[in-house]
Amino acid sequence: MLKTKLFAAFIVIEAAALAALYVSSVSTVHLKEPEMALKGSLVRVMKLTDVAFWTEARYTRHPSQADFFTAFQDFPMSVDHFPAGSIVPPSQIHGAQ
Amino acid sequence: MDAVIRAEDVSKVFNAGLADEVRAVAGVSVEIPRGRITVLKGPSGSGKTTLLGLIGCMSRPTEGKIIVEGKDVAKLPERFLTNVRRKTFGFIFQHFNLIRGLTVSENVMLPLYPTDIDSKQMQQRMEEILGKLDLTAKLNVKIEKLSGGQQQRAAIARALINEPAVVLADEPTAHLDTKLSGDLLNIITALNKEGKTIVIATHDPLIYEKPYIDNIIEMRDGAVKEAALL
Amino acid sequence: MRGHGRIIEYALSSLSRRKLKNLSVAAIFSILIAVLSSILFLMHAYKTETLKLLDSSPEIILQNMSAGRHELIPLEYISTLSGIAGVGKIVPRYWGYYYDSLTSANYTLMAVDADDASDKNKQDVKLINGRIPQTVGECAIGSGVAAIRQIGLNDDFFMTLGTEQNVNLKIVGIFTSNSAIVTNDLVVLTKNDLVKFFNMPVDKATDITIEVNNPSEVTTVARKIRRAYPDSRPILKIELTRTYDNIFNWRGGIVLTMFFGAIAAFMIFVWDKATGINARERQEIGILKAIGWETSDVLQLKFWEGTIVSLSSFLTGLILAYAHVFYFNAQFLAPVLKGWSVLFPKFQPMPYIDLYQIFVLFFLTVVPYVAASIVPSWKAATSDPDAVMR
Repeated sequence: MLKTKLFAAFIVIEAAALAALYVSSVSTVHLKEPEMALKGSLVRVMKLTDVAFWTEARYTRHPSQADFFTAFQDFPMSVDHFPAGSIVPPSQIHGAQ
Repeated sequence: MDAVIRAEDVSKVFNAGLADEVRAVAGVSVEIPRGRITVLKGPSGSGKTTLLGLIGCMSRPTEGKIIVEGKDVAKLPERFLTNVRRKTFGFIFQHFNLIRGLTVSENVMLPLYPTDIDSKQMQQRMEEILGKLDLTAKLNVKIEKLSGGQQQRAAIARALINEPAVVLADEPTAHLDTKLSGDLLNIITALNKEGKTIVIATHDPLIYEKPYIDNIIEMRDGAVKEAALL
Repeated sequence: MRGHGRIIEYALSSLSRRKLKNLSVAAIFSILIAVLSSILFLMHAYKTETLKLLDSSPEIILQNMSAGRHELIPLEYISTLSGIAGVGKIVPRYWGYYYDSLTSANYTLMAVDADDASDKNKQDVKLINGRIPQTVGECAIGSGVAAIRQIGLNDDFFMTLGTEQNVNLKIVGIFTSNSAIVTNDLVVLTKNDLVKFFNMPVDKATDITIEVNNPSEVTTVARKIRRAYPDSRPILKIELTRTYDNIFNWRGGIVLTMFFGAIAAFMIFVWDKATGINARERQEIGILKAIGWETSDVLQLKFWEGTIVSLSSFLTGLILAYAHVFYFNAQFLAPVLKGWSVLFPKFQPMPYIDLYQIFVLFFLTVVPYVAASIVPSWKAATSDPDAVMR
């Protein structure tokens, strides 16, 4: 039963490692709550609206602020990249408001 | 006569209803006497291997009854048939049918893996049998590294690990030279002396011409040509 | 129970006979899981953090539209807006973009109004080395800007749009890099500097933020604003978060699509396994049956063979993915995510994990693999064992 024991040990170690990673992720999130609160207040007082991931164009730097007619924007509610995409029809949610 | 197994009017049809339908065994009735060596003799294609399979509960007859220790097993569901086979029979195949890549000891213990037997007991039994068959030195050798004769003995060891009452052998000398065939016969007669019932399907005169062979059933074209209890 | 244990033992022996083949399968499987779960982990972490942060965004941002385009908004709107019931504080925002030809990067310029009392709380911002600018000629920049311009505190920061429109600012603050997700490309300067630099009319702002006293009235307020100014566009916070929800799902989808080839190859591989077993495997099943294994024993063996390979690969892949995303900053995915971005924020994603995604991945990979190991053996395992005698 040597192989079974080795395999069981391997699986247990991996599962334990994963559990440890999960615990560490939860505790990191918990530990960084104050930092998140500071970032949240930064967003609030600076009145920021978007994340600074893609700075190449205004419809990528501020997707939420781009107007309806900006080319290639990811907004509103578009699953397709192109405004007149061919995969999913435009959502009605925005129009309803 | 005390028969371990009785086949009553059994037939076995392969590919039923198709163009290549084969009636391998047709209306055969035989009895296998307890504690004796029985030989199924006949040229290849005479149905002796199929009959051996039927007797050993490897397959079910198309018609007829197979009675093992007084119970008709022909209609038993697969599970029970397997159970009967596991408890009653040990098989020695023509092509050995050992599993390559595994060691001798693993091959020998394989039949007992899914059972409830204690692992230590299984190990002991394996060592004991391999000792008897002079394979102790090869215990942890991969099966494909053994010579033909050694593989044959490993196959015999595997057939004996479940302590069967009946040992069935299909053309056991087909791949052995005269000397090794002689050794094999010695092993088989020794087993018989321990009280095991032996059934051998063969067309090798070396076997069926031996004076101590008790019971010869001659087959031809799927039927019994001659059954003589010598 | 003993039988179970020995069947597992045999499954391991059986797998180790074809070490190279099975190890390669496990390696490919692990890598596939690692790639897929890296994408899922990263997108989920980004999305969760973004949505949490943007929850602090203004309730309503009012844009002025002119001929369907975003236009500067007249400050005179404010007095009308403050007359709408339920409206709280109204603050105009002054901001814009600047393309820096020196570094080929785009910066986002944002103003603080040091003279305006309502803008005073900006001075309390943490997560900055130094401080927010208070007087004309000062600025605070994001860590990305500082890095790409190779400048630091108290250095000069020069921007130009021609002979008339240029500013030379002193850096009094640099946002910390852990806030880079929202501040990476920011240049914060005083309102006077920004208006002068962009040559904006004094009676206009970029847009107007509106606080709503009762959050459940946001849509009512927005409707009233639309009635007062039909040409304006109120952007609600809920739209903002929805936008980001979509963007990350979409970007994750695009990345997944890029790996579609890998997924397809794996599926073909599993399919190939599922639709046929080779003669040798068939013979082995026959032998096992012939020496007294039941059909269920054989299927159990196949179940374990599949489980051993797929479960260990799955766990390995998850560990690799976690380490990749949260310890090595998603090094391998970064090029795909960044695209052409010159200024991409460098920061450690917060390890938000969605267990549901892991379960879904499990049921989409491990379960089909195990099924594909069992199903093809079924026929061989249920046929009569005397086949091996012929």
